[in-house]
Amino acid sequence: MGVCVFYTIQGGSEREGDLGLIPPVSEVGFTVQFDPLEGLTFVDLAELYELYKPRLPIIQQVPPLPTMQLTPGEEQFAGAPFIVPVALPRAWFVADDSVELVQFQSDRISYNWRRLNPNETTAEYPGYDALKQRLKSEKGVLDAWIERRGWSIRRNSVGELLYTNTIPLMVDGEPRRISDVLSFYKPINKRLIQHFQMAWVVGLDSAPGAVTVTAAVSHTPDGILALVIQMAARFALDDVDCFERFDEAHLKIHEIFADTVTDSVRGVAA
Amino acid sequence: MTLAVSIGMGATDMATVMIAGPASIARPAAGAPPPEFQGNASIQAPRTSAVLRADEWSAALRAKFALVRTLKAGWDGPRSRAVSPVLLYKIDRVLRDSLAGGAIPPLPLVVPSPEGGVQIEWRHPTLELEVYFGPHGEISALLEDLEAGTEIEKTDRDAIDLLVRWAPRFSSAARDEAVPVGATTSSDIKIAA
Repeated sequence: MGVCVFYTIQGGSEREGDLGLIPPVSEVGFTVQFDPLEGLTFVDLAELYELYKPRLPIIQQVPPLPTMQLTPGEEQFAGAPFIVPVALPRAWFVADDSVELVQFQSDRISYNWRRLNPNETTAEYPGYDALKQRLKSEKGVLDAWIERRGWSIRRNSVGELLYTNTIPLMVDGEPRRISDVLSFYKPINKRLIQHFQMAWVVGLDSAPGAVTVTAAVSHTPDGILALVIQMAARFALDDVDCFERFDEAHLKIHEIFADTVTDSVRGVAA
Repeated sequence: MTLAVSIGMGATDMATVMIAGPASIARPAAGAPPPEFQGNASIQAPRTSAVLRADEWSAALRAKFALVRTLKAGWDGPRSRAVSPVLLYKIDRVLRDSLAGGAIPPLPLVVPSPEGGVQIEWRHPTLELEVYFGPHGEISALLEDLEAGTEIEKTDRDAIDLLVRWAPRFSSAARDEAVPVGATTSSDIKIAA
């Protein structure tokens, strides 16, 4: 009987390191959307920044995003100007080493971890559980600030868990085909193509929501062709422990990833 | 062609998974002539468009980085060092973060240094911005106002702040002048299915 050793997005770096495998995760993002903070001003943003500044000192401001909907892509049809008439920017608080990022706008907080180095350089991925703890910590800072400012308790509405996996299409100097990476992609004729992108949506089992999966060819920062598999789970957070819902979404993402890639990518050992 | 499905709160813009780079960068040809790093010279087929989409900008920059990666130790004299992929990853991250919030500037010049660092440069008749990424992770930035004859020099976090605030301003200058930029078309791509 074969023993499956997943090239996993779930475990910590120590486990994969023991197996000589490095997870292909290049970014993980957690988002909690809540009832908007009414009357938020740029002065409030400055005060909030001071709380994150010791760990996340680099500030950036980017355009705000429309309200997240549970139906994938739905918010694209509702222009942001109709939803947020006078919008403050979305604030980015970035760590000195660029690995960690907290995003904040009036109706949500996100925590992002980004791999900074090439996959083969170091198994730096800390694992889902460690990142979830970081989300809890960063959201705790925000919640405490909201309470001190006298805003009412926010109702969490929508959560999102995002995993981006980058799998180089070049291993030890040898090119790898898309069909070497995606388990279900089996072209009859293995010809060269010019563009590749697929997207599909998988429903969640236990709560309203879905996982949107995309697979597309891109380049690593140093120019190597790579297949990028992105999975974004959106789910309802009404009246539940939002962190438990993240766990459910994570398990679903793990299942989808395992089904999507080939044994050679998962690192199956006979 | 853009078929992006906009999902997620990722800092990795999904636009970056669009293909717009040259297939040849995946495996640079042995014995190829030295890459041209200076100017807005095209790496493959030129495309006259001063304003690139984010995905095109990212792909074109990564194509330049792929050329930098081909440099071996000794490329500029016996003591010159190769640029590490780790440094290129860092530059890519810093630039994409820094430029996430505003207008996209024209593709910068990418100038490797013999010490193993990389300088990113934007030039305009009245303004120049140079950001140097050293081989050990150090960052410095120099902003020069050529009309006023003044300059600002910053290091580390302050250098990134300078980059965030000033690089997007080069985009309006680029629109005015319609400078050709290096980018490839999807027909240049060859992916093994």
